[in-house]
Amino acid sequence: MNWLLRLYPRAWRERYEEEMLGLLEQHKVTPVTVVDLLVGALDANLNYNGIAEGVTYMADRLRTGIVMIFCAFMLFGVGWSMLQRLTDPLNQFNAIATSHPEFRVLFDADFIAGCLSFLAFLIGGLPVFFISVRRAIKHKQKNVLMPFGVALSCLVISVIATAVLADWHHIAYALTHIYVFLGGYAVLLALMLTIGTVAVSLMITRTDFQLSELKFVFYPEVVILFCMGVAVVMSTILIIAITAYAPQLFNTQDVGSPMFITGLFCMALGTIFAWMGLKRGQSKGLTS
Amino acid sequence: MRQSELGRFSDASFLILSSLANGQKHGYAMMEDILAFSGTQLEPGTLYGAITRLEKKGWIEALPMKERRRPYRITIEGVTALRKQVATLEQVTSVGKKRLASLEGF
Repeated sequence: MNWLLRLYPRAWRERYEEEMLGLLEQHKVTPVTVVDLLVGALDANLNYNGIAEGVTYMADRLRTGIVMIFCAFMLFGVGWSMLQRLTDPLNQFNAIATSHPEFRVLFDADFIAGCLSFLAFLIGGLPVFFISVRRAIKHKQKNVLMPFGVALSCLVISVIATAVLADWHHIAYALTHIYVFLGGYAVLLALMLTIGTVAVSLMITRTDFQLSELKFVFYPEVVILFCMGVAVVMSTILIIAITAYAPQLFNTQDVGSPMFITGLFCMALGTIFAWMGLKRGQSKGLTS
Repeated sequence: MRQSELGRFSDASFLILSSLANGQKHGYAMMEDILAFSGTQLEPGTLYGAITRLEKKGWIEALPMKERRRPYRITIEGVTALRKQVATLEQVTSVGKKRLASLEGF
């Protein structure tokens, strides 16, 4: 019966030939069987593209989901970073946390959840990023290497800007125009973060990943989303508790409550987008 | 259930879904089961034509192969599709019965 199965398309045979041969060994082959297989071969040649199409479809969905979660995590990270200023000045926070220990518990839980989600982000994201870069270098894919260069430049500029900020005491302009200096740093960092995020998203979108390379990111994605959700819940309770019992904590050295509300909003929005990204990547069979 | 996408395999697909509704089975076990409960002898070409379509639609899913046999199982979507088709057939059967009753005497 092998010759009959050779009439089926290669993609079909790669998927079904072995099990079909196993079945034919048990089945009594009659002229009806031969005709049926001939009709089946014709049908497969006309209509079968299922598995190749399915794998590509799944890889595309998973890749889009990864990009969505990446962007969502960046948004979440911005919001989470804003909320870390709640302990500034630390003396004030510690004094209030003595009478309201739940503040410290909530803040620490938010901090730990954020760190764990970042760890999961690195575990899941770095291999995908390196595969993208390695493949782009190997195949000289300019449309991937260019955004990689842009992302790298953004990282370098951000590091230099942060180093300059850390040394602000020795910069004459910063001493006289501290808010302009800080504002400029914040704007530059936001710009670099946005450009870098778009560049990395383009890299991932333009890389031809194999499904097997992307499947393993599902579990880090679940951890990321779970931790993001926990952080949002903890932060919400913390903000409500502070509003009710210690609103003075909102007035830090240089920012007020709008920044913390914005931070919480970014975290919540990021978590919703990440959930959408995870749902998008959950094509049938990806997690099995 | 969009029958048009299943084409000439719609009957075979219904039989396969019905067969898998009581547990996972490989191709030959499906053929034997279908023969037992419906009296229909599905040939391998027809069986696998229907399996490819059902798998593509996500109504059944393949499990890891064991000794040249690949078991398949019905998915949640497959159960939903089977329920709809059974409901349709029950409606048709009901109408058929009523109309046959009115033909008593022939």
